[in-house]
Amino acid sequence: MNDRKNDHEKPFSEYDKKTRRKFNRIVKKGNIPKEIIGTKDEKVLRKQIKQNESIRKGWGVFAEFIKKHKLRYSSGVLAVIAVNGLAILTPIITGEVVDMLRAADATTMDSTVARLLILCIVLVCIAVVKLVANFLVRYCILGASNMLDYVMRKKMFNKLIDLSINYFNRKSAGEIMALSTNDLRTVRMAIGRGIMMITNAIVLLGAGVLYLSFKMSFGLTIGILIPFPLMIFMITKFSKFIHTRFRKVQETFSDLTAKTEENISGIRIVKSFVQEDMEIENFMKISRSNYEANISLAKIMAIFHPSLSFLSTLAYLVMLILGGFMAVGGVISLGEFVAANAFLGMLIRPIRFIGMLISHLQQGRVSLGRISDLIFEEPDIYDGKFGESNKEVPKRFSGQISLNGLEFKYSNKNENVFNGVSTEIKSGMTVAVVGEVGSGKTTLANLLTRIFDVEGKGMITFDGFDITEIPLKTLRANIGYVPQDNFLFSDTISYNIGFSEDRYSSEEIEAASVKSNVYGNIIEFPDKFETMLGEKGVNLSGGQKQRLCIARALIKEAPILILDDSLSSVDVETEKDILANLKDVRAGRTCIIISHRISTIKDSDKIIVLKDGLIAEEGSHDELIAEQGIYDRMYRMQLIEEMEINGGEAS
Amino acid sequence: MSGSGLGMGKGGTRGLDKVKAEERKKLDKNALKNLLKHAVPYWPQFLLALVLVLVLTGAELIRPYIMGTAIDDIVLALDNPGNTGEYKNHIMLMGLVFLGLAVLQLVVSYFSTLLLRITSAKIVMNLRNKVFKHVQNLPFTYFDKTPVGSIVTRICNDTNTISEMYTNVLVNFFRDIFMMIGVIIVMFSINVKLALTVLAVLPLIAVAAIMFRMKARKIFTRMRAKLTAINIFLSEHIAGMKIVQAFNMQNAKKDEFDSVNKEYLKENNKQIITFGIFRPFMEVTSALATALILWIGGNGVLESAISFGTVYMFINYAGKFFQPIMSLTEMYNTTQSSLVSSDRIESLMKRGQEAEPDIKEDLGVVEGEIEFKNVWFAYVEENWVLKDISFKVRPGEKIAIVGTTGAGKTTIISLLLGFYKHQKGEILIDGKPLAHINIKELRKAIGTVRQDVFLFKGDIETNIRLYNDIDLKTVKLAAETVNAAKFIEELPQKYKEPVNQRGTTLSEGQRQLLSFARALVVDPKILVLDEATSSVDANTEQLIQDGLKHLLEGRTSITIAHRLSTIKNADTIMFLHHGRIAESGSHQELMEHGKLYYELYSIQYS
Repeated sequence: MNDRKNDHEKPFSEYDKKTRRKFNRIVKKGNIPKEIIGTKDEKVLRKQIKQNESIRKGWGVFAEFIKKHKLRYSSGVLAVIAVNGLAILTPIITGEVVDMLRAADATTMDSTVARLLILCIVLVCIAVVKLVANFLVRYCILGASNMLDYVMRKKMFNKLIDLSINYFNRKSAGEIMALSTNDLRTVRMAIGRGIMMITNAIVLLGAGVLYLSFKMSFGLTIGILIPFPLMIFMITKFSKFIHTRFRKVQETFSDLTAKTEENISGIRIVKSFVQEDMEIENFMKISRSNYEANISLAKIMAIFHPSLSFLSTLAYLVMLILGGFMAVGGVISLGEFVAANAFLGMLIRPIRFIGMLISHLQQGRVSLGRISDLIFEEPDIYDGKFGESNKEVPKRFSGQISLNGLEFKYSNKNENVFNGVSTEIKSGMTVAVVGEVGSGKTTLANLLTRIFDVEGKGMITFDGFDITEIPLKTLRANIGYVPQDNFLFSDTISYNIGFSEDRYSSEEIEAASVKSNVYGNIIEFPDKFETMLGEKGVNLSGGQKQRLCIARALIKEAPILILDDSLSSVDVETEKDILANLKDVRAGRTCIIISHRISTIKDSDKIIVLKDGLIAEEGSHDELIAEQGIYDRMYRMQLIEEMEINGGEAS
Repeated sequence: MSGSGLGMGKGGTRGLDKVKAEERKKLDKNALKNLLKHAVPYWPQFLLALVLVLVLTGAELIRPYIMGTAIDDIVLALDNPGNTGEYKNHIMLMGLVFLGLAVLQLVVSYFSTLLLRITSAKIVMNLRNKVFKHVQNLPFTYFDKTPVGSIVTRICNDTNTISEMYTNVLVNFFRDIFMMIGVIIVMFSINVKLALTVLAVLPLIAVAAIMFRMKARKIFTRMRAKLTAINIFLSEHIAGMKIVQAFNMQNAKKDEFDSVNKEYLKENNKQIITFGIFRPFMEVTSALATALILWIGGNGVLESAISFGTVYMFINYAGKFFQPIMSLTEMYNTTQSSLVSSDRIESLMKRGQEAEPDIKEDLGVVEGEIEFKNVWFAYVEENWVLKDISFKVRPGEKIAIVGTTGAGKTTIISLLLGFYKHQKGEILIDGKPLAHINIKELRKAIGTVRQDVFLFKGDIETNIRLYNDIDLKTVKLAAETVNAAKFIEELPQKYKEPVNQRGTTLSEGQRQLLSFARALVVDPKILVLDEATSSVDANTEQLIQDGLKHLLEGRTSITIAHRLSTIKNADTIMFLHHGRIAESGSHQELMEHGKLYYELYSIQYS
């Protein structure tokens, strides 16, 4: 479920104290001493140093944000002070009422009743004013944290959209999504609720202690506050235990998830080899260890909360006996006794939240680090990576492309895709690329559109300009690209065809759909070109999607057209029509067609056969057939597939 | 994800709401019963927990009473200065009772927390095991239709959600009810007038609490919907990033995302407003209750009808009275999501498992004869994948199936293993109809080697023997026979070498050899193998071919062949073409026949 937890690496905080101190020093300095290099601690430390660096950068973003919203934050803090000031008034007034009632006798009866009424009304009024102040606190502090959430997410997406496909190959979609949901939420929690709770606790404790010690005897204050440090000590001690055991629960849970996932993915093998019962037994073992982790957490939880309550009860006990004796002895008034009693209740609440607060802040820090990793990620492919763009690059290419000794390797693979591919594509030519799965056909399209960069040897030029000196936007504006996976966005059909920053008229969109033979399908939908695609709209067939993708590429009227296996889901008849239409389109345009189907490419000016990272065969259909090589074999194989068997009934 | 290419986008969230509403409606009346039934076997534990909670509630109720009594003692002491010693003693006594109660609470809540958590952990474990067990025996059609992730969610997460019900709701529900009833009884027994005052504020608080809950739920639903919209947008654009960049749409997409993101911000801010008004509003109502108690109680004190202690107690009890109302409304949400999860699990549990045959025939010692008689099969309706397939394999015979992609080769194997049921015709093993044979017995008799070798997390040894009761010696022997032993012996930990999920540390050829050993080790009479197409180096290829030869010795086998060189020696070769057997015979015969097979062969070896 959560990849990050799957490796079960011991976190930094779980080492013993001495090591932790030593490690903390190392992390602070940022360089790892020789004796640790090569041990498994090195990995842990490096990770921690990197994380700290990320968090530091993240703090920068946050600090900037606070600076920008300092008015909001300072009014929030003021409002917190107001809320707590008002909160303190309530027990004071209650005490006041008690003393007043005590002092009343027959002569002052009427005035006492009148004052009682007034104080009661004041109590309600205070609550109303507090409501307003409370609202302000939430509006300022939580509102700012929502704003931060928005700003960070925006930064993340704006970065994401400029990152090269390499990044998306490295990170799973799930991981990136988790940043936008879970991590941002924990940061928001820490920065909103966390800050609110901290200021609240500090102000309330400060005011409460001050009031108690000034107004009441010092001894009583000390007495009732004795359990407080104990409580804080217990919370901080316990939260570590709880954290460790909770992690164990999560780990066993992720083991459980991993096992289930493995089992379901491999269900064919499980069933073929009749391993069901053994798998069940195995699952039950992991399930058991999750249960045990839960129990060990339960044991500590069962001690933690009740003993915390017990400690707070002790404060009341001191209050009851010590305060009671003092009241009896006349050291404090009855009203003060009642007020102090009410105070105690108010002070205990924020203490109980300390544990939660600590974990909020810790998690927030880690998440902030992860988010800043993305925000400060450097894109792989950008203008100026290989020096300034050439000013002489024309806005519109003629369509001449040449590959010169091209070598390429994906960074996550060991083997080269290309080992020196050279060819010349004249402007206006139609070139077909064929080859087995994995021979590099799509990679070629990726390199031409600069989705990946040629990092190895060799070069690609357009109209004689090296691809690296052409501005990205110009390059991509000159290529109409139809990808293999016919990806469409869940929006209207016209949005998908006119997918460009240029605005296209509805006539242009219709014309493109006619050329790609999808017009007839579109006008059959009730909403025609405004039909929504995707789960809540219509579901298109594979062939319809492909034709929409072709329309999307054609509308650009770019001088270069790349079709990556774009007719595979289209039936033979439609394919013929599209090819006929493309013939007009292709006039004066360079066209690169990647395909498995020989019928699609037979008429190309040039056919390139890729194998083992090289061009194995190159020439026209007839030339290659005559060569009797790979292409010829592919062709004959397809002839068999198309063969009709005699005598078989049609179905 | 990229295959289908379409996710959801703008306005998709409304659809989601609708789905939610429907889901809620769909929860049949038995949903609650279904949810609670998992707890039934544990009724003694829950009953005990309930008793413990009752004790806790009682203790909780006594505390304000003690404080109030102490206050009255103080008043009495102040009024009778001569007798302070007596009152001090009484206060001391109250303190002791207070301490006693605190200790009692400490002990009882320790046990009740432990009891509840342990019991619910047990319930989840058992439920999870039960669901997993059930899933293991579901038919293949289920796994074809259901994404892995959703099955995992059923087994792991939904069961967790259900356990929330037992830890946080079931007993706490009673605790809150006890508390409310208890407070009412205590209040009325102390002072009827003040008790009525508190009850008068009750409707205000109750209405506010319920309104707040309703409003909060609506807002949370909308917030979730907006967050879902962000997620959908993100996942769609991560999948389609290549298109965005290839079409220079980065700036337009930034704006689009900004508007989705802003929607969420707006909803978040609305939440602040609702919570910022309603939560403090609850405080205003409770302040109103305090003021009323002070006013009426204060007047009572002046008339000497009510003591100070009583006023104190009532202010406290009022607070204890209102709290359960808030927490009861919160339980509603947990219950709701538990119900949804329980319903999902319930519908999964209702699915039929792979059925036992109606008429049973014991497979006994398998000879290895296979016969297909006019078999027709379609995955969907009349879309026939296999058309009128008939062939017979005698014990020990080796047959090979060749043909172009999509001809239905793999389907024949799937039918033989009972993964799917054919619609027409008959399949016989040793003359016994497949439909009469216990499916597990059948699969035990057939060894399979698949093209995509699936390895489990564990080590080499367990990946060969799986969880069968086979000793290491046999495992080693099998590995040696199929030529896998050589590379295994070269691994640092040999047969104990760890293998990660999917076995990515091994090469394709090594994984293939492992799968041979895995098939051989159970010594099956029948072998089916889907030959690997991947290109391995010539050396490994030789090892594989040689291993294969040993594997097939003395067994009935059906091989789906991609490279014709490996099957030349098969007794019969069938050429499958568009779901039919187009040609059948030995290599020699088919070559002489000079049609499809001949063509195919000459393409590969010309």
